[in-house]
Amino acid sequence: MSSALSFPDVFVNASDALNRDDISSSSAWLTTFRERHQQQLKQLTLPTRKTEDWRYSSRHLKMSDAIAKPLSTLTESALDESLVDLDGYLVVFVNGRFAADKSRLPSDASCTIKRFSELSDEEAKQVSEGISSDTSSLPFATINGACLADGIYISIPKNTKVEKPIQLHFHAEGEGTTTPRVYLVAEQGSEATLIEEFSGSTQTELLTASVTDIQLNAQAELRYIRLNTEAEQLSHIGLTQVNQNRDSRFKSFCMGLGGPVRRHDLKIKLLEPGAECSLDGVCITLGQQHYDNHTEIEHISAHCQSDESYRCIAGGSSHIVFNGRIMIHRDAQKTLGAMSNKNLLLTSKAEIDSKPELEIYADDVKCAHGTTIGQLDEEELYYLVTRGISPDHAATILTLGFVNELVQKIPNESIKERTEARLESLVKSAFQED
Amino acid sequence: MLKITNLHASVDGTPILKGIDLEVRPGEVHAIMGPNGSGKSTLSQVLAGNESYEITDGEIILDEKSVLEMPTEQRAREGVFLAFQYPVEIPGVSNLQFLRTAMNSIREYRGEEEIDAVSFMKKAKEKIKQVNLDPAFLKRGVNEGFSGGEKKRNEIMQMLMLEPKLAILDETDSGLDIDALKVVADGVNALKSPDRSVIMVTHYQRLLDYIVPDYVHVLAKGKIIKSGGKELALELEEKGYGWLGIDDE
Repeated sequence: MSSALSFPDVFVNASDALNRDDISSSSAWLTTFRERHQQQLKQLTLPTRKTEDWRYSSRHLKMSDAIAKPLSTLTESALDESLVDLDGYLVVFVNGRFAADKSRLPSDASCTIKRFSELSDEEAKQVSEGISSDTSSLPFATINGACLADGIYISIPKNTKVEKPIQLHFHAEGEGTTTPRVYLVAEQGSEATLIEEFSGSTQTELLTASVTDIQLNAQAELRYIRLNTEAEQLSHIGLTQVNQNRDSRFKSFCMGLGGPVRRHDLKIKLLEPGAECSLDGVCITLGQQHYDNHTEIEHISAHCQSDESYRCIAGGSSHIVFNGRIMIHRDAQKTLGAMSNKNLLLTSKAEIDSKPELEIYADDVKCAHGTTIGQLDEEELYYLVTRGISPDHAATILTLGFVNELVQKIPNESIKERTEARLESLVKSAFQED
Repeated sequence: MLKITNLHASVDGTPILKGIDLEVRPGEVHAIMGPNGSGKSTLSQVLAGNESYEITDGEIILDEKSVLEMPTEQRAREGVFLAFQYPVEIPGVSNLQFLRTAMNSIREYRGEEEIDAVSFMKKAKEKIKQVNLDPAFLKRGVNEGFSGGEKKRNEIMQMLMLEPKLAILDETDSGLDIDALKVVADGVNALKSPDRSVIMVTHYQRLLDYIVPDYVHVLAKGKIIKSGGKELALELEEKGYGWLGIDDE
C-alpha cells in the first residue's frame, strides 16, 4: 500500500482522470456540480482519530493511489451471479456505467426512471437544487460529487402507488473508485419501494462512495431497503439523505456486511408536522472486518415521530460502530422519538462501539434511547443444549434469533429469504472459525 | 434404566449432594421430595448435565452407559429430558424452529432421517392441543411472554414431542393452579409406558394426587434420608418434614 498521496490529492487527481475519460458528453449542470465538489474536495483532509465523526473508524481508512482512479469498463463480469431480479423495475450499473441490457425501465407513466445525462432542464434543476450541495462534513460524499459521471433520477408522480419494487443494483469489480448516485423524489401522496443493492468482488483495492438523496413530499410513503452485502474485499462509504415533508412516511431496512472499511450514514430531516420515519438495521462482521452505522434524525418540526432499531453482531476480531443521533430542534414540540441499539459480541476479540446521542432543545417531547452490548446468554444456550441441540448449533440459532425480529419485518419476501440464508451461512461460519 | 451411586456434587466448591443412591427401573415413577435447599434441583441439573456443577464422586449409569463424561446434548439424545423449574425466554427463536431442530438433532444421533415438515406440523399441533395451549404459540418465540403456567405447559409439550426415556420434572407443579396441574399430569401420564421412567422433583404432595408415584424419596442436606411408597408423600403432607428430624424451610 502506498502512502505517497494525501487523501484530498488522491481524489482531486481521480476527478481529473474522470474529466478526461468517459464523461465528456455529460450535461452542463453535471459539470458545474462536479466542479463545485472538486473545489470542496481541495479543502478537505483525511479524517483522523481526532475527527469526532470518524473517531472509532478512522483507523480502518487506508487511502492509496491504487483506488484513486475510476474503475475501468468491464467486458465480462460476475454480475449475473449476484443479481437477483425482483421482477420490478430494474436499474443496473456495472463499474459506474449504466447497463441498459440488464435494466428494465418503466414503459408507462407509473414512474420516471432516467439517467442524469438524460434529464430535461427542469428535472436537472430539480436534482441540482434538491441534492445536498454542501457535503463538506462528509468527505466521501464530496468525492462522489467530484467524480460523478452519471446517476439515476427517479420520480414517483402525485397520488401514484408504484406496486413493483424499484430495484437498483450496483456491481463493481477491479481496482479504483466507483461513485453511485441516486436522486428520488416522491410527489405528494405517492407510494413506492426502493431497493439498493451493492455487489462485486475484487482482490484489489476498490472503494464505493455512494450517495442517495430522497425527497418525500406531503403524504408520500417510501419503503427503502439497502443491502450493503458486497464481497468482503470491497470498501464502501455511503450516504443516504432523506428530506421529509408533511405527513410523509419513510421506512428503511439497512443490511450491512463487513469489509476493509465500510460505513453508511443515514440522515433524516423531518421538516414538517406529521412526518414519520422508522429505521431498522442489521449488521454483521467477522474476521478482521469493519462496519460503521451512522444515523441522524433531525426533528425540525413539531408532531413528528421517529423509531429506530439497529442490531449488530461482531465475531472474530472485527469492529462495529453504531453512532445514532437524534436532534430535536427548538420548535419540534410533541416529538416522539425512540432509538434502540442492541449489540452482540461473539468473541472476546471483537469490538463494538455504540454511541447514542440525544440533543433536545424542545421542552415537550417524548424521547427514549437504549443501548446494550452483550454476549450470548449462557442460560439460553444451556436450555437449547438440554434438548439435544449441539452447542455450536445452539449458538447459531441464538445469534440468528437476535436479529430475527428485524429480518422478519423486511418488506420484500425474496430479499427476506435471501437475507435469512446469507445470515445463516455467515453465523455458522463464525462459530466454525473458533 | 438409571442407577445413581454415591453421587457427590458441588457448586463453586460448596458440596450440595453428599452421597445419593437411587435406582430407577423402566416404567417406574419416582418422586423426590424435600425441603428447600435440600439439593432437589441440583440433582435434576446434574442429571441433565449442567456444567456449573462439579461431580466430585460417584457414578450415574443410564442404560449401562456412564453419563458423567457425556456432554449435555448427548444425554438429551440418549433420552434424558429435564422440564425446567424456570424455563428461559428466547425471543427471536420460534417454538417451531426450536422443536424441529431439537427433534432432528436427536433423530440424527439415532441414525434416523429428519422428520418431514408435514408430519412435524401435525405432531406439533396435536401435542400443543394436548397441553391446552393455543396453537398460535408455536410461531411465537420460545416461552416469549408466556405466563408461568404457560411456560410449564410448554415444557410438557416439548417432552411429548421429544418422547424421552427418562423425564425429570423439576418442580413443574410449583406455581400452577389446579387446572394447569391436571394438564401437566395428563401429559406425563400420557407419556408413561413400560420403557419410560419419570423422576418428579417436588416440594408439595399435591402433584402426586394426579401422577401416582411408585416410590417416594425424601432428600435432605444432600442425601436421601427416607424412601417408601406413595403413602410416604401423604405422611409428609400431614406431618411436614419435621418428624424426619429435619427443619422445613
